[in-house]
Amino acid sequence: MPNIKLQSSDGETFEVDVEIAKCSVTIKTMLEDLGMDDEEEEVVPLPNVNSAILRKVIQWATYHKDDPPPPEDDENKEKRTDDISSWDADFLKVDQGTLFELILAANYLDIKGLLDVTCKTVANMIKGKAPEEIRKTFNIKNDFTASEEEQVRKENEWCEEK
Amino acid sequence: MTVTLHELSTELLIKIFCYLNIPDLCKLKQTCRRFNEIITSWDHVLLKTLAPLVTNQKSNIFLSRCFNQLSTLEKIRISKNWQIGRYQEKSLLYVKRKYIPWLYLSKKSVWISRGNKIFSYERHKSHVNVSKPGVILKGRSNADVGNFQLKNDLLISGQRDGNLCLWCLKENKAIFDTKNCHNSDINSVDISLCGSIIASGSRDNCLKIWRLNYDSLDGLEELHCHNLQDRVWRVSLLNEKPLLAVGTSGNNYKNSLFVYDVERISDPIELPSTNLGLGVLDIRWDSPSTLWSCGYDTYLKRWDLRTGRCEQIFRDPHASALYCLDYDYCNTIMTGTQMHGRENHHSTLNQLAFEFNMTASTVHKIMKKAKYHPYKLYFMDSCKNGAHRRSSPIYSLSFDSECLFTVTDQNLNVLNFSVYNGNVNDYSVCWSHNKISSRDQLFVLYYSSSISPFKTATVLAHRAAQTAADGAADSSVSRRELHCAFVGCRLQVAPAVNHSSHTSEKFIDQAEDEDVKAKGLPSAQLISVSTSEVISHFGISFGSKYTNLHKVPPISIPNQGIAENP
Repeated sequence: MPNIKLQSSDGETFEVDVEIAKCSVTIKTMLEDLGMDDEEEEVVPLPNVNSAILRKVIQWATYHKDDPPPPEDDENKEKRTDDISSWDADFLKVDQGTLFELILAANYLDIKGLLDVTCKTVANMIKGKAPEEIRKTFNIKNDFTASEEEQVRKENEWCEEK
Repeated sequence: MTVTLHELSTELLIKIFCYLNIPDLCKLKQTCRRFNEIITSWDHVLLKTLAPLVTNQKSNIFLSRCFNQLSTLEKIRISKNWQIGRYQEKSLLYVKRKYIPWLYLSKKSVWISRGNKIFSYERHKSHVNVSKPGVILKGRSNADVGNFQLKNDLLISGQRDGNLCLWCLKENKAIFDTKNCHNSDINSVDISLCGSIIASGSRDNCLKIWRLNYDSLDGLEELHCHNLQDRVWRVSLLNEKPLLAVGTSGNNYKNSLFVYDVERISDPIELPSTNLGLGVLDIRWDSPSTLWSCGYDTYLKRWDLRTGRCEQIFRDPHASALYCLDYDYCNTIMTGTQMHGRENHHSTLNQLAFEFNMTASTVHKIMKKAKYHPYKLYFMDSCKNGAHRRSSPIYSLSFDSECLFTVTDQNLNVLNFSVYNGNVNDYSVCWSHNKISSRDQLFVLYYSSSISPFKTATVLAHRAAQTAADGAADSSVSRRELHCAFVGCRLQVAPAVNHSSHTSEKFIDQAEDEDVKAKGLPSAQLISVSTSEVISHFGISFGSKYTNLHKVPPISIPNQGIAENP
């Protein structure tokens, strides 16, 4: 099995199986375009991902390497968030900063499975919370003026009743 | 340095928000400006909706009369208002004299005919500028406008003296104004989309097709004249094909709905009717092969020209004639009714509009069921004008996604459903199709009741069921009985309130004893009613209860209103 070297933004190199690396569409396209089939030991630089996150990504990709390709998004299908596997749930028991960095990395590396599961995790953190709780959870600054806040509250009351 | 949710790009936030449902999105909108903006501007991506009731705006014809093009979130919100009955009612215009008006709704204005004039009032969001009409059209004739129709800046109107008039709205002048097109009242007119073909139907039993001809003296050339033996109530031209649907009174010839080929006026397709007198009052084309009709038979029907049969039937729960209908060309139909079969001089709020639910997923079921109930009823509270409380049918109605406009003999009303807060007017108690899915079930409900005052209702209801089964639901007897059944249904809700059983007994007694006439009435507080008017009296009591209902939980109504009604 050929290996490939991935270099994180802080200079650390990770040697991974090409097949695992290819779950990232970004890397896959890069390899195909550049035709890196020769024995040359080349390093793929990933300037947007630091080593801690890249390690997590590789860990995720290794576990999921035999997964079938994720299905295309169905426009009309309701999106579920309760279908996160227990391994993924454990894997994503990380601090918020890491979670968002994983989202950024998954987006940059174009790993659909990882992006979906991380987004679902964030969505689950939002669900069922009151506006103030959401602000607290994600440390969001309330930039509404008092009157704006009242207005927006009035406009959105309707969804709360049964 | 850690990343926060706020630092994610809009694209990624949308990806996350996609997993949220409406309540969560609404809460998220309240957290900060950026989220509010993202959700507001990307709601069509975040929310996948099929076709919400009334607000779907799927059809271009419907969209062309909607004042606002709604965002997805607003669609869902307003559709919910339609479904629960949250609206604000306003009487826009009130005139002392009674007319039979007609209404046309466009994106920018409301057109209404009153007497010999046609007015247009400009729309502003949910209200209408009624202080000053934008346009007033009056032709040479002084007779009342019987009907008018507007297409592509051309307005055709037919007067009660047989006068036809075509207006060019761009130049605000009449293209022609021709006398004696018919020998009697023109009840209905229509103009083709291209503006060259005009159809008119009249009280003189004639259906006429005209062509616009600038060379002729009148500007009008008669192509066909066809005597139908019955008064013509409605003509409706199809936009896509030269087809004309005609509804007659059906008094002399049983069938009352015909579809003509405009170019070849003979040999119409006749859509079958069961009895004489089941006149068709309004018609709306759905597609080149299907159309909706309603009228004196108290049914709303969908006809399919390919099979030549009625494929869908909706029954009016109060068995009153349906005067007009309007359609959103997707899944909502509203009809305006005349609650009573007669013109009564009783104080009552007896107009209601029905909205029928037939979302794509249920159409099939309805087809199979053949008979179906209205989804929602709205009662006009329009007769608020003190001593002028009178019964009137809804002569015409139209709606866009946010507002329902109706005209009665004296009022122009608007029900605004885009409100954020307002009373919830839920009349489903009187006909809850969620709980009672068929009339049979309703009767079973009666039978199972052991409380004596309702026994009479049981019998009456049962009789009504039989009469209805015999296909005579349109006869006056069964109509009365259906109303009694309806009363019973209402009282069925009452037992929880002790006080009410007394009051209800009084009413049931009246309903029971056909010979009671005016003398046997148990309470002097009630205005005297003859048996034949008992039903309208029920109308009163219901009507006034409904007015009180706005702020009272529905279950506590029956002990109010009935006795207090002057």
